Amino acid sequence: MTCQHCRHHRPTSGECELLIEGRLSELLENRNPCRPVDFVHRVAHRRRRADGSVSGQASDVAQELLRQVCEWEWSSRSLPRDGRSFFRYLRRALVNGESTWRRRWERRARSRCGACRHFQGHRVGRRSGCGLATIRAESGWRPNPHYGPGKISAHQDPRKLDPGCRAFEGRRRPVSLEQRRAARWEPVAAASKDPGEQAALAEEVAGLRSLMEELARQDLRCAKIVIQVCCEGVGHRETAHRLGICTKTVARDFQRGIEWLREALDPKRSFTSDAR
Amino acid sequence: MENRAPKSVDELFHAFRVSGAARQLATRYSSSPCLDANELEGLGSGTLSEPRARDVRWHLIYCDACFDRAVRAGHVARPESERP
Repeated sequence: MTCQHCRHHRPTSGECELLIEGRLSELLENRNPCRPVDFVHRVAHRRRRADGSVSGQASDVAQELLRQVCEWEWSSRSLPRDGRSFFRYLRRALVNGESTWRRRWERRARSRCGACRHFQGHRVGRRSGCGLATIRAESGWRPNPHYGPGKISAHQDPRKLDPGCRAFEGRRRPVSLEQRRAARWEPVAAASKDPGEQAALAEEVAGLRSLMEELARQDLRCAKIVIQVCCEGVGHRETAHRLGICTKTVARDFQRGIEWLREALDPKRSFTSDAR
Repeated sequence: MENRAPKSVDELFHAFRVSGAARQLATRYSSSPCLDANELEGLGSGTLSEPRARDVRWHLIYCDACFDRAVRAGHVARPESERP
């Protein structure tokens, strides 16, 4: 890595022209002194020597991760602009991505729930816990018994849960907003074919819709936040960006909306008749 | 109507998504035509009929552009907790 002798190096700012102008293909062609592909193979080789469990596939995995990291990060424009920071960043992304890949395919002896992308850490007014509402079973989709705040800790081994969790996915895996939304919509296929269950489901949905209309009448923004977070799968940060408000305000409004719905669902009241 | 044991909010939203009602509402109201100034003003002043006001509110839930316009024009009330 000799940026000083490279023709793409800008001596005044220390930045790389290829990184600034987004010429990723030229950067990966290996004609430049920095040779990022060789760098990737060097990192993979060191990792292979350190841990022989993935000896045959470390280079392939590293190469694939390099492609994913560059495609993903390039679109979000969060890559560093100078060569030294770029390679430091690349090394960290490769090592983290490889660990995630090995955990995902259970090549590593122990994984923990805190490293899973479904795990929600401490947020405003909430405890940590698993955020995956539904899981795929042999018979179709079913509610996740470990879903909710305070049920599992970050140090929990997902395979030792009762029942064991097979939905572990490393947090560093690049997942776009569209993929998250698609995952939210996917349980539509789990709707029951039984007419009695369908009628009960329709009644519950009508009750919730009435409650949402009542909430929208009282506080429209709160209802909008609850729908976006609970139905569309949009995160607090993205919701705040859309509405032009602070993330803490979103969290507070979401909490207030959920509390309002819980109060409306109080056993002393019949929510289907009271909401109308 | 008899009192039945209500489900939790999470279970209700799960049913809301599973039944497809969430997607139907999103499809219906996000693709409906955007609101004009008269409708927004009618929502703020309460002169719209209740069915129309309900449709307008659902559209505002799913359409970020109209919601932004309504907030800027002051037709969507701020929550009481944030009022000075």
